[in-house]
Amino acid sequence: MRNEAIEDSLFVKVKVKAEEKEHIAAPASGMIADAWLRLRKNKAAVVALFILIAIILLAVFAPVFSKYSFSDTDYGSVFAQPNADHIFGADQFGRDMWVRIWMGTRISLMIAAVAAVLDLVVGVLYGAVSALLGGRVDAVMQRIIEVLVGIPHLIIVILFLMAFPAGVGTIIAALSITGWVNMARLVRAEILKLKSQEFVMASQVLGSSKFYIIMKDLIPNTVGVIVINVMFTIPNAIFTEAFLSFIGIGLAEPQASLGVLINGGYQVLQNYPHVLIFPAVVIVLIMVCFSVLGDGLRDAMDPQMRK
Amino acid sequence: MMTNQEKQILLDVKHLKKYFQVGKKQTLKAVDDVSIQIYKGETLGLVGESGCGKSTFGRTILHLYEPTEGSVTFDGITVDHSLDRKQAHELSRRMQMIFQDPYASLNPRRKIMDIVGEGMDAHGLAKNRKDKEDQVVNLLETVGLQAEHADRFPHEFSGGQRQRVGIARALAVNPDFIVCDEPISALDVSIQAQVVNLLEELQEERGLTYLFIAHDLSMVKHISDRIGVMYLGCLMELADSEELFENPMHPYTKALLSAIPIPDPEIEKSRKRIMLEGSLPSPINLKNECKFASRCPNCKESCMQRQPELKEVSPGHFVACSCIE
Repeated sequence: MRNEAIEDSLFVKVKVKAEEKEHIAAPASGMIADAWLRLRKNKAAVVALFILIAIILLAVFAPVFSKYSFSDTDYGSVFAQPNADHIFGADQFGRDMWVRIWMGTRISLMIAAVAAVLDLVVGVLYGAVSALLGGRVDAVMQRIIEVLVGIPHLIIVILFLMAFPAGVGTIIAALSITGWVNMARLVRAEILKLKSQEFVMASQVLGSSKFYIIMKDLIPNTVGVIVINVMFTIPNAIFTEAFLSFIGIGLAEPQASLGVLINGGYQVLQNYPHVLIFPAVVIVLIMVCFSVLGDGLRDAMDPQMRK
Repeated sequence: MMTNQEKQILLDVKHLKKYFQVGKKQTLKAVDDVSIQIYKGETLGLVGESGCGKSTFGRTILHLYEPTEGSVTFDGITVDHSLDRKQAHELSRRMQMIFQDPYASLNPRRKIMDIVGEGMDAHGLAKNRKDKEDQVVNLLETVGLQAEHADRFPHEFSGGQRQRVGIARALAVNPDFIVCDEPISALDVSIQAQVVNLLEELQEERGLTYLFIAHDLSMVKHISDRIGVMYLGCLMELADSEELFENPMHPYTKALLSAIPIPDPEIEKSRKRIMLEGSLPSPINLKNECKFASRCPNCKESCMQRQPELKEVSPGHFVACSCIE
């Protein structure tokens, strides 16, 4: 056999330096840099991010740079097909769909932003306080949430819109009653879980203050849950507004929101499908992109998901 | 071995009890009347099966849990609510802990620099940022890590490395006493030796006192000066580690020791295991009998009366069994 030619003396012991044993090859990186690195690998999430940026830019700037306004009627171009002048065509009063769609998107995005802020402020605070104080306070706060969850969301919102004048403000107020509940529950569960973790115990043993433990141990570790939940709350809020406008109790003409536009297009669907298709495509894009981006962020921000 | 005169009591635990309320009427007696003295510079091993209250005992000593009854005296200072904030804060510096799970005991969102430096911030041990960084790097080198590791996050380390970060964190505040709560049970065997040797070196250099909680008997024998055996929240036997292994008295200790495999196939074949009858009873709502009565091979009627107290049967050897006089 050939192997017999290999003698023991041919083997040399490789000397590994003590430092090399403990060496970590990968470069050091922070939480945000790390998350961005992993988000970038997720093609769908990156595409969704760019589509959302494009939609936001169009919503902000398209109405400003158009020669039409969202309420200008022009009976010469009633139900105009998409052309160079009216990029998305015109509706039954000859109003430019391009401007109306981006105005509607503005309202949807505004509602999204309010829902997100509400989630962040009320939901996170409510959940954190409930989990940290515990005991009786926690029990009472949870019962309040259960009552809010017990009443169907849509009934509250519809009753609210009947009682107050229709408009963006009323819709936002209606959404604020229950919009933060989910976040409060998630944050509470997360903090309860973290509270008994050994690293929190280690901080207590080291004599760190309560404030330090909340700011450095508890909140940074809930950021992932918070960001992801916000990303899923936003399409929900947009959808609720569109739905309310569609059934006719949301925004009123001539104001445009995606729900109002879809309602208008739905009535003339057989003859002029473009009046429905464009706003529908925009709302679908917004909702799908937020969901895909939320999914991508969840994978990117969770340290346990690292590959 | 230190003689009796040289021994100086560092930690004196008297009749410590920690009960947890489970539901309205049920009480879980996790630690039930444990008294123990730990001497300066020694390592006291604490063994027992899962759920016998070893970890709860360690945590109650450090006041992570409020004791139901009993007192803990550290270096002449009784730890309770009569201490003012400054004294309590200073005590928290002198008593530290190393945790069981190296994956759960480091905050995943903080760098090693901040994790190790946390205690220095809490107790104002570093003059400025530069001083803190120097101290952290020093500590990392003490535990066999490097300066470059300070900018890393915990997830970038292996289990053994993380455990050493945990040790560095405990050392950062110059403690006198460290509770090691199963510090090696989550590690590979080859890494276990590394960590245990590190703990021993540090003890020699810094004159630390350890309470070493574990369930690996041979490792406990190796590192401990004295060993206490716990069962269902009670201390059953306490003796010098040689004495305990050579002359176990309590039937539970005998059964435990008989379970250690011997690394010699010839002797191993003839090793006789004492198999205990039944399984560990639930620690909820126990009756007043000896805790071990339900599984004891030589249980008598007198055992059903009460849990026997620890008695000194030979110098330094304590047993809680009514069969032994």
